[in-house]
Amino acid sequence: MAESLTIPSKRQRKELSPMLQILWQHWLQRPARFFFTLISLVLSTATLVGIIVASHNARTSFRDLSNAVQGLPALDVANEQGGRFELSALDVPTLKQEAQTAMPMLIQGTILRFQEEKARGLVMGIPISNASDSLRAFLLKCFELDASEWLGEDECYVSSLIASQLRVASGDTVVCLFRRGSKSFRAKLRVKKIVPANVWNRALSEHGLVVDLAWLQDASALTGQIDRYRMFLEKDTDLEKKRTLESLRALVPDGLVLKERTSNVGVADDLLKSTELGLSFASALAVAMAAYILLNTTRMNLAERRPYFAILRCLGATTKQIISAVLLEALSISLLGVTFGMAAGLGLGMIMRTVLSGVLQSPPGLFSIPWFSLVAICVFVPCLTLFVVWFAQRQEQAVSPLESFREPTMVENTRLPWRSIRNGIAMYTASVFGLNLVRLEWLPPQWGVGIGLMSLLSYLLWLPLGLVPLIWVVDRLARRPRGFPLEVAKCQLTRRPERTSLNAGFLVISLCGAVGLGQSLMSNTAEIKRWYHRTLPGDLFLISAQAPSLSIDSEDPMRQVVEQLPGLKWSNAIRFVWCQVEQKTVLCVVREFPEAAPFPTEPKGMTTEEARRLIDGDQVIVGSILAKKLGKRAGDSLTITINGRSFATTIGGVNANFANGGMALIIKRSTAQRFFEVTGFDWFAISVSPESIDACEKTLLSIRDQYGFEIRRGTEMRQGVEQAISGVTAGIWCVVFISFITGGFGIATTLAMNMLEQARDFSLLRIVGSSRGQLMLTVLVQAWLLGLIGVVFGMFGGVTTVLVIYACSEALLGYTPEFEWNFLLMVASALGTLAIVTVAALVPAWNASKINPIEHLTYE
Amino acid sequence: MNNSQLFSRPWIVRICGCMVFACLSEDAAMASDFLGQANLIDVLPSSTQMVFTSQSIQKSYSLLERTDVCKHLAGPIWQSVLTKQKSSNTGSLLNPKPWLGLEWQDINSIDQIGAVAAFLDGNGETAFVFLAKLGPNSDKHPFVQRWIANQGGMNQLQSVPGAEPAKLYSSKEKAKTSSAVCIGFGSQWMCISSSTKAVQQWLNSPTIKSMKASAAPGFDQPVFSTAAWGDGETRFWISPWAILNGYAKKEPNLVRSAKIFGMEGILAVSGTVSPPLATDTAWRVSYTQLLASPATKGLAMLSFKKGAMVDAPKILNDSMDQVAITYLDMKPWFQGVTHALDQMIDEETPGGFSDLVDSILTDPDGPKIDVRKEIIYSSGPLMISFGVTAPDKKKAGQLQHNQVWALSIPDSKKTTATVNKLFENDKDIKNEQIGSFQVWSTVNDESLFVAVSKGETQSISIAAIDGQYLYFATDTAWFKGLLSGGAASISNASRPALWKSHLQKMKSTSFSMQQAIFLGSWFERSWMRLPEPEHKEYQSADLPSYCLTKALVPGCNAADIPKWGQVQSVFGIMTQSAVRTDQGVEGQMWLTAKP
Repeated sequence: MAESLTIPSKRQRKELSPMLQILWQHWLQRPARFFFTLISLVLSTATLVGIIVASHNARTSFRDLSNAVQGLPALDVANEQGGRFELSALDVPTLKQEAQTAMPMLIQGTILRFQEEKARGLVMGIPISNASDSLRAFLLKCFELDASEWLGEDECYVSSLIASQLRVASGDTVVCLFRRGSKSFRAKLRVKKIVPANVWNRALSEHGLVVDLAWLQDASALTGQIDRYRMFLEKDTDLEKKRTLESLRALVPDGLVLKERTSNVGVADDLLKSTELGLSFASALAVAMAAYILLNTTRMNLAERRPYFAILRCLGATTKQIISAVLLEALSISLLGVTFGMAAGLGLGMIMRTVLSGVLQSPPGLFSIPWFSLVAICVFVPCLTLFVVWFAQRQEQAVSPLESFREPTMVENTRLPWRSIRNGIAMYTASVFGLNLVRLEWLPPQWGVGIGLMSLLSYLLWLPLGLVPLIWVVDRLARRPRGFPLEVAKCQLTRRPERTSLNAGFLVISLCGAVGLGQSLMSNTAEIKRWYHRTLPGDLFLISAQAPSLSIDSEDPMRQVVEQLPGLKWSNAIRFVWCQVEQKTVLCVVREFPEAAPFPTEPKGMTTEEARRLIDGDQVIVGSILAKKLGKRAGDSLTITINGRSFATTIGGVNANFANGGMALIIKRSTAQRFFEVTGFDWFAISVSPESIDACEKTLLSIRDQYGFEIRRGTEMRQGVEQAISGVTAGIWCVVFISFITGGFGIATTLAMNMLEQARDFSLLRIVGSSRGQLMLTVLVQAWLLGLIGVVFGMFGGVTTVLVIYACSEALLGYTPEFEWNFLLMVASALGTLAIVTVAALVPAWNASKINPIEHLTYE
Repeated sequence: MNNSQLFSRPWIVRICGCMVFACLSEDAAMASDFLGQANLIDVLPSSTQMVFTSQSIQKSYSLLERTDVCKHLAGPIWQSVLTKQKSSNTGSLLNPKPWLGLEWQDINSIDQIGAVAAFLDGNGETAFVFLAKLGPNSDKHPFVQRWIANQGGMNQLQSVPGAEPAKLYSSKEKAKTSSAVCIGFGSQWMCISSSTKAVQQWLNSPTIKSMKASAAPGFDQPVFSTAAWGDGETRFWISPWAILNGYAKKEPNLVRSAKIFGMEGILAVSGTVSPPLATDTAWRVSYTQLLASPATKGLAMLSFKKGAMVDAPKILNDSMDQVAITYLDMKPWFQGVTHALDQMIDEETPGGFSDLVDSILTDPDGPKIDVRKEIIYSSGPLMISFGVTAPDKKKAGQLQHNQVWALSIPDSKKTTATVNKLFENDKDIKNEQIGSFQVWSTVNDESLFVAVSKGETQSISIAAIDGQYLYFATDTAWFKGLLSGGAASISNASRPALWKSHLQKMKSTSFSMQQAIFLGSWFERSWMRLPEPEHKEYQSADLPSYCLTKALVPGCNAADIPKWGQVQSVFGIMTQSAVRTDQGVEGQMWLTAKP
């Protein structure tokens, strides 16, 4: 190979010149062949580029988001069960030695007021009055303060996020209320400086006010107590964090835990990882399909021209000259294909980027191009093309020119390619084993993509086996009257079993994708639909368009209005609160569980009554995906951190929960209210008697602007989900359709090239008396036979894919959906395959019927 | 949350103080062809904000003059105050000349119908006018002659054109000042006002309609009703919000505060003031308060229910200075209280009280109790409040009002458990059993609910519960004395116990509120503060003291003002019975001139 790919010398180039002219003549004589080859390359490149560009942009946006909130590297000592601890419990001098600087922090919830504005917020106490010189210097630098801006008595720093909420500016005085047991303490603090949010994030994880620790401890009657001891590290490397964690772990007393500073980017990270897993799978399929198209097209291209190359060799051209010329030809066309493919891929990538940003729920950010990856593709695609060409041509090289003039032997007369079939079976077995390891979670989910791809490709190696029963059937059918087209089609297909397998391979890949992914996605969408319908029952939904009310439930005028609605059966105020659970950012769904309302979830392995008892008993229900990521199950304890304060609870059950990509938990409102402040609503689900819906809606409309919410009917909400799911379903059908189009395109290409290759045969048949109709039917029958092989193997492969995905879904997705076979999808896929094949074969068949024998025989 | 706290806040003081001051200001008004009308309702313009009227000014005045209070005010004790006010030309209740141009005894010569009214002038400002129906030759009436003489004779007055057919004159020296007084004569009525401009606009404008054409609430009752007048009876109609609105330009902050408080919800107050009956010694004030429905903001405090008289709690002994038995619609009532206190605690940053109550539930470090729902709303509707005035423990020589609020509790076990939970984790709160009472208290009279108590106001420092009531009180030692039966030793035994007889008298009545206050005791604390110093924007720590300073002793220093020992004998008992109606509140007050 190294010899073949050597750059030709000047003499060699001179020798190559006539060869290239001949090849150029070939292309001019067969423009369709040129077009199909080019299209194959463009399609392959565009798919790869599109996916890589979209993935890169999603990753870049995520990184920007992450950088904005990440803050300085730090480790925190905190109470294992939540709650506060005595600073004196720590060996502070030793801890400080391992860190750049360190500071204790007390976090206290408060009600903030400035003039008429009110907000719930956090007051963070850090050492100010007794800060060491190093801490003072660190904080001044960290918060970008002048020495004159250091806090004095009754002064505070305010995060710009809170400042904008309260409409407070430097120099204003804010009022905050603290509790000291049954008593309250009202304090007035002068705002020393508004600290921009990104600057604030450097040292602090939560936004609010910063005051002197000693003052806050006194105001809250929490002398000596802190919530966390934060140690800032010199370097932001995993190694540094790991080293420090290990060296300090022994210094942390029992009941306390040393952990990495948590950030709020976990959700995006998890979502991105999940999305990237899907993208990887799609990329792998794209690469496989691209390689397959490339391989098939190139091989056919070369195979068709085998007699020409034999003639050239007879005329004195060396093998090396031919290979060099063919490689140059491949390089040229691949470069052309890459150029067009890049342009198409960038366009596709821009579209996919927008879709991805929607999935990740983050602004798409500036469009950026992954130059390194694109250069790599620019190298990879031509290299792959060259390799395929070199490989195919090398096989031809071993054949004498005389042999090359001869027709390929019939499959009956030769043995099946048992070697590749055996290899296929071995690889398939290995991949099944590998997938089982993924299922058992001994291998990470990312491995599933590669192994799945390997199983698909190895499965394709079995395809020649399909010829055996096919020939048997076709033989019997051909003996019947008017079996001539069948006989000819059989000859054509069995003459090159490898090519037939490759042709059918398009369809198999398409069907595996369509049936496998389609069925899995449909099961998942059905699961989501069930979940949504169960989670959000109700006749009317109020969707808050502003920050939730700060009034406590018994005083909330909005709630009072709802409670007095005519015909009210039940109502349910729902809040979505972000929290941290063991370093992961989780959506905490705080909701009520009215007796009259259907229980909104279906925890695994328990009845509704049992689940209700657990929820009433202050336990939480955790989404199965979250449970999976946490490695927790029902009965385990869970520490939830909200606004810097932690509390321990017990997992009552695990359910299918798709909110926030499955990173969600459900907690009863009254339970949540024991641990953190929950007022107002994000969504308000209301159920009323059917005859009262209009009246209730009218009542709610009259106060809509006053309280700032949107009204949606339950039916509309569900329709919205139906529509969203319909969108997904439509997307699935699009995927299926695109798969078929791609497969059909491959079939059309190969059939067209088959036709070109078989032109001499058809000319002879025409001379010996075959009608145009018979020739047309011969091509169509070839296509149908290919379609039949594709459908049989594709269905089997699709069903296998479904079962593999289903088996691995716990490992890949974190939950196992209730599986439902969609037979319509199966039937439609099968019929679609045959229809596409028929359509793809029409033009080649028509061309075959219109063949001019003189032209082809003369040429020969 | 005691009364002194409630009523000593800047907001109430502003409103009430302004109303009192407004009555004494040198604004006054008069009439036109309006002055030629037979009935008062046709005389007053539609922008009228207030009217007090009597069928015979002489009769009413003479009845008033004979009361102990008036006799006392006319006595030698007050001469030093009067002399000082006259020498400095300071208007007051004692010295009406600077703002009415007359002496009180001058009106004793008017045996006709008279009225004091207020209305808006063309600039939207309030003008006050004194009206008397003296007939066609009113300029010859002895009262008018006296009034003219007080101004220095007719040559000191100048005719003001444009009031025809009435005649209007204003004092020359003050003609161009805001305090210029004027007098007008019509074929029926004579008017005196300190606002020539307002009277001129009233009499001159063809577009101004009479009060009769106005649809203001409560006009028809009882001032202009045809009901027979009692002997010496005075009738009144007031639109408080309209009066306040008249000060929107002069005192925008005051009006804004009043609006925040919800004063616009008081549509009108009307009623009668009747002299004592032969069998009684009390002046009677019957009133009807028309309120917007539903009552909102601070006015929701007037959300009453109705009920029958109950036996007083055992700890309510005879020595109490004031007692009120009230049936409340707890939720709106507490919302009203919350709203009012939200404004009062910090007017610049309102909401402090509701935050305090909310945080008891919402703060993760708090007791997690919904005080409203679990204690307040589930209590009542009966609330009995009572108290005494006692020496201030923190400030020697001053007094404080010790107050108790007793809320009836339908489920004492549940309430006890809730209150226990409320205080259980606070190591500064002592929980003890005194007799049948479970008691929670702080040491040194610190607040049960607020960690740091600043300022001079008292706070709730003790709570107790028995089978019937949940008590909150302001003075730990005093209340513990009440609970243990030793209260008599710390309360003033010399004070009358007329509240019991009053409540006994009302036993068969269905009512919303019964109240008895010994004014002597109640005013003692305020009197000792006189003169109440001027604070920023009407702020005062004591409303009665502020009102007394503005109305009775303006321009005087402490040395000029009679000592409490010299005046305490004039204050008697005020009892009140009120009942909620569909439109508001109807009630009667009895003011016993002297016990």
